[in-house]
Amino acid sequence: MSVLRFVLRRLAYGALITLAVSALTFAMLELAPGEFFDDLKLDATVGAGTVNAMRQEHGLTASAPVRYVRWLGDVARGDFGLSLAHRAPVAPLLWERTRNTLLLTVPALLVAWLLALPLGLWTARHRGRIFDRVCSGATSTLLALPDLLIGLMMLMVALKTGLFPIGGMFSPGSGDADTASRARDLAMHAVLPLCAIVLSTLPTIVRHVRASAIDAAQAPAVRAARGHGICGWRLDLRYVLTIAANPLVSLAGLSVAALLSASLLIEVVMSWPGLGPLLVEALLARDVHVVLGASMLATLFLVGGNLLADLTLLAVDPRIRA
Amino acid sequence: MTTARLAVGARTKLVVGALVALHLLVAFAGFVAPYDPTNQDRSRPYAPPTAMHVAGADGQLHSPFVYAQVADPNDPATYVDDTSRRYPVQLMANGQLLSVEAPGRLSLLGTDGFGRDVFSRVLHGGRVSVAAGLLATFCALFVGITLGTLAGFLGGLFDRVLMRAADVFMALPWIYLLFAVRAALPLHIDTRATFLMLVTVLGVVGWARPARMIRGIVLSARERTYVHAAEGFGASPGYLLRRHILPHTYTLVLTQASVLIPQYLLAEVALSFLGLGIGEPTASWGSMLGTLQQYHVLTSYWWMLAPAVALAMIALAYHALTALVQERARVIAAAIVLLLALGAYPAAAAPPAPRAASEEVLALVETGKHGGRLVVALRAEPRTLNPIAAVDAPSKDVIGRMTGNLIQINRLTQGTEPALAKSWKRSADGLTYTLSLRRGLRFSDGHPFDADDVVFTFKVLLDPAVGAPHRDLLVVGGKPVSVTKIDAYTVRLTLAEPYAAAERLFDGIAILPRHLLENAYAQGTLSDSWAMKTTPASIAGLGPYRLKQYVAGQEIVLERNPYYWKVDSSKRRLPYLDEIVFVFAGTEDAQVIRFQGGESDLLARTTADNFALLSRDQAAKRYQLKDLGPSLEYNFLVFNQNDLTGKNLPQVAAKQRWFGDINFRRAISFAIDRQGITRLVFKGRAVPLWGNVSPGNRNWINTSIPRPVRSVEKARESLKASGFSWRPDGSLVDKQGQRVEFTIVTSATSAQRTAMATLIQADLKELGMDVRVVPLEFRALIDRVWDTFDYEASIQGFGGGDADPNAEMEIWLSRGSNHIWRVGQKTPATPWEAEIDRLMQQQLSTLDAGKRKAMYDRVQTIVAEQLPFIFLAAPHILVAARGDLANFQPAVLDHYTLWNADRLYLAPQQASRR
Repeated sequence: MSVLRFVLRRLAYGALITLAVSALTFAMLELAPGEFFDDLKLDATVGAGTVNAMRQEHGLTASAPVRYVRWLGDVARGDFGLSLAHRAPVAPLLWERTRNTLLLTVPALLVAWLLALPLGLWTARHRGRIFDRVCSGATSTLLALPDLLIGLMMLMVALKTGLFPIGGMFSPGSGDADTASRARDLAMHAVLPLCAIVLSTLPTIVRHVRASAIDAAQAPAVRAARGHGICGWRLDLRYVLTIAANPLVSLAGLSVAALLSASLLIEVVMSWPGLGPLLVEALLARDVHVVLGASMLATLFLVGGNLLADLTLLAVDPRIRA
Repeated sequence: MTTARLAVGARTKLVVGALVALHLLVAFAGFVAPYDPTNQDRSRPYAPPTAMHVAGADGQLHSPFVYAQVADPNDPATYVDDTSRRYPVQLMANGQLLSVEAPGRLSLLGTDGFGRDVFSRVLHGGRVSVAAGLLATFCALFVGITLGTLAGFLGGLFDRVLMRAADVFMALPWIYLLFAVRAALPLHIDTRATFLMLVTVLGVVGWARPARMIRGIVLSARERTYVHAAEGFGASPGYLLRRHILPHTYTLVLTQASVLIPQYLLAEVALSFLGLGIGEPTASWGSMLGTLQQYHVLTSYWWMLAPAVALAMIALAYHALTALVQERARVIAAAIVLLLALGAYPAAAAPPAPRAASEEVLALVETGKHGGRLVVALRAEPRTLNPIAAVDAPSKDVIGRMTGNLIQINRLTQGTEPALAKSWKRSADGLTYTLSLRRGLRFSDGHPFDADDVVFTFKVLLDPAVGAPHRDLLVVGGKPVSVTKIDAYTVRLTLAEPYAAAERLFDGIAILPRHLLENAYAQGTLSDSWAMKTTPASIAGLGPYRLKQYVAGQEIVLERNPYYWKVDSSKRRLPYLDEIVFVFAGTEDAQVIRFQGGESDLLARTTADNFALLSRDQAAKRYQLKDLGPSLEYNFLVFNQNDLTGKNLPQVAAKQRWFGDINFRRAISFAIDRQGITRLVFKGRAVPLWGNVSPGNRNWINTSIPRPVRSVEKARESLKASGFSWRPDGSLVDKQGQRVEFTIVTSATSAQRTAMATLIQADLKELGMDVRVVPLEFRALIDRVWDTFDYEASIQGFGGGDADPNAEMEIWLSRGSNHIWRVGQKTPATPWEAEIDRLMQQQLSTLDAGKRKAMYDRVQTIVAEQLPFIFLAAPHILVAARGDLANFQPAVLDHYTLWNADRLYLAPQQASRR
């Protein structure tokens, strides 16, 4: 089977999956109680008639299948609908936030992997030693901390040390500054949210690397290499890692999918203007089109990540190719 | 080699020992924990751990003992040891591992906000949480392994379908399924059922990730040569899987387990938010971690970290266990049997100490200095800059600074005062208002303002095609008001019938620039104009500031409106500040931390907990912290008395014979410890309420409403009068012998309302009522209370708007949409609701202020007697600003801090703050 055909077929599946996800998301939204305009009911100055008129205006009174088909038709024409809350088209809204999120998560997940690989290999090689134990203690502690708490602790670090700005992406009112100082400002603002994401994703990766490396160390190829006098990092990188790659590649594929989701709550706590604040609010507000748009975007990343993982598996694990 | 084996053996024992010990501790929580985990000690909220002493204050050594903790007389929020008496720690007494004689308390890990023992809660909570985490992990991995293995092994269509299904599963926003599940389930779910559901939900949702990873390994393993060889020798698929393929996945499965166990324990935090978690008062690590996620808890009460530490220990132990299994060491799997049923016992409430409210003094406006920038952190991003479309608080906060109105409500006096209209005249019959506009005023883009703008504003507001949410305000006596232009600077407003609060209406109506919006109106796009992305040049208003820049998700910068129409006493043009920058903080805690760090200059409203936290470093950082006294907001408990015919809610309907019984509601009102609520939930920064008007509403409160003290005796008498009686075990039954039990739903986003419900739960336990608390996600809650009526009781709050009773029409009129105990009635169901209807309608068109007050007093009296709402408390308005912000005169009416933004300035002498 040619790789190209494989990729094309997977992309076709990807389109089907996206469609399925949108339909299921829509169905779930319908099943969930409550609706966007519900909070107006609490406002004593807004009568029930007005609320109904607004629902009508936004087409919420039509039956669910009709609304879904209508939305699909719009999407086919490249229009992803309006956000009820922002009264603005969904696509540019999502695009802007996605860019900000990726600005944070791409470096964060790279850093997490670059830290986790040597950490996992090292602790596997020296398992049972002090450093390994400290490391498993640390990963256990990090796993026990919810994302929200990690974000909050990062804000406290900023407050106590005074070295970093407290939340946000740029300093308030810095819109007029020149590019260089804005880049510096952005970097300073990104440090702590980046740390938070690294801390929340690192433990899982380290544990998988360590466990796979321990297994791989038993493999005949590694023993043979060791017999030839190859040791240390050279052994780890050339032999152990290659053999241990399989589950790590799958995990890395999932990491690509996590580019959009790993930082959601941390973004909310640390006021990073990414998808997090937008999506959390849209989910709670039942802002239908934003949620649909975001879950389709998430599907794209997921399909893409898993496709990459499968291609990489084909490349690094010759056994699968057979 | 031998030493290595020994090391592994020793480590095995250690790990297994630690695991068994941890589980024994949790399993025998009842014996080890010194106290009932639900027992509230309201005299000791957030008490630190009690220190065990051996050396006494008398200088001699004793067997281990503790001192009683008492509130510090100088600062009631902290505790000191009462060294006058020693309470020896008793071992194995009263069926407890450790105990001390009352009133001494042995709180090894301190107490939580309700005075409950944290150590006991960690142990008891561990039962549910650890078991749920383990079982959910098992479920997810079991499904993941089975499907992942089959997909990798069978390949082909099965593999493709399954892996695409996994993709779909990972991409779906599961939160909606959970909302739906929550809505489909009965309101009250007992702990055991909740537990099973947690496990199922996590298992069902969680299989996809492990399945994908396992499939990758199986795919590789099944192509190994020895697998092909075995296949060639005729090995069955089962044999192949068992002998040759599954062993390759062990490592991965174990690693996944070590990662998933703590993750699934944490998942309960999120599920609690949806009302799917383990409800109060039952202890669980999820709910405790939820509490820990609050900034004030995290920084003020270190002992509340206990559940996180416990969770880390469990996670470490399981990690060590999986590591050992991987090393093929012999391990005896510890069988973990966890008991689930947890008992709750009534709390003994201590008499509370009242705390005096501070009242702000009105100050004269000082003449300020121009310049400077004020940074304000909003909770969320505004959705629009269009005054007609705005309904959310952040939008209104920003728009309010950019727009002007004809007559405004002075936030300090709560009366009206001229704004764009310099004067107005009411006709003798009260049907027409003639307003004289100020001359020579300009919009922020320099365009002159005149009567046409006013007429335009009212025209678009009243046009049903525009769909302005606040149109109803301008419909008086069933007819929309009409506004006509008399001349360029005079307009006349005509009403269908006299309207007492007409002047106050103008406060909420921002005058729009006709020259900018006329086209949009003609094209029918008015309500979509002025979205966030609009260029500053096409937005103009009559407020002190105008739009300078908006950066999505980051900030809105407002700059001084050079055409603003107010000047100070030295004839210098207002406002003083160059810029107001609104940034978006995301959470209330982030708002507070930003303020502490000096990155924002103002906190528009904060909770008592955060206020206390800020007052600790007030001296060092020179903030201005102001407690403005009671707000207009009233929190209350409401019972569902809606007409349920045709609603198929037999259980709720059966309980309505209690809810509709005035003696029942009175009993509840008598039994609620309002002082406890103000003290524990609001740290004393709230006033207990017995009526719908808070003392913050100085002009309208009926001060003669009785304020009976809490009395369980009177509550019991009231219940007896309606034929309720008690079983020998103390539980309350009604005339028909049905046990009195009901559920209070609250909003999961309001920690305070859930805390009030938790206190009420304990209060009513004393009457023998079994009350459950279910926090629900906000919109799911509204859906139940306003639409489906599928609830029994709820805690809600109203009254954030204007001080005038007109703001309350929809609440008190029996046909009103916010008459939530019995929504939207065609005809009033009771004589007293009919009387309220009459009074509210009458006051609306009564122009004599004294007579109106008398009518509204009567409404308050009826409400306090009939208790459709059982009023609880009105929190204080608590605000903060940087030390050098001058003319800072916050008020209890919204917008609390920025209502006089045109006069705020930064005092230069203190400019070097922080």
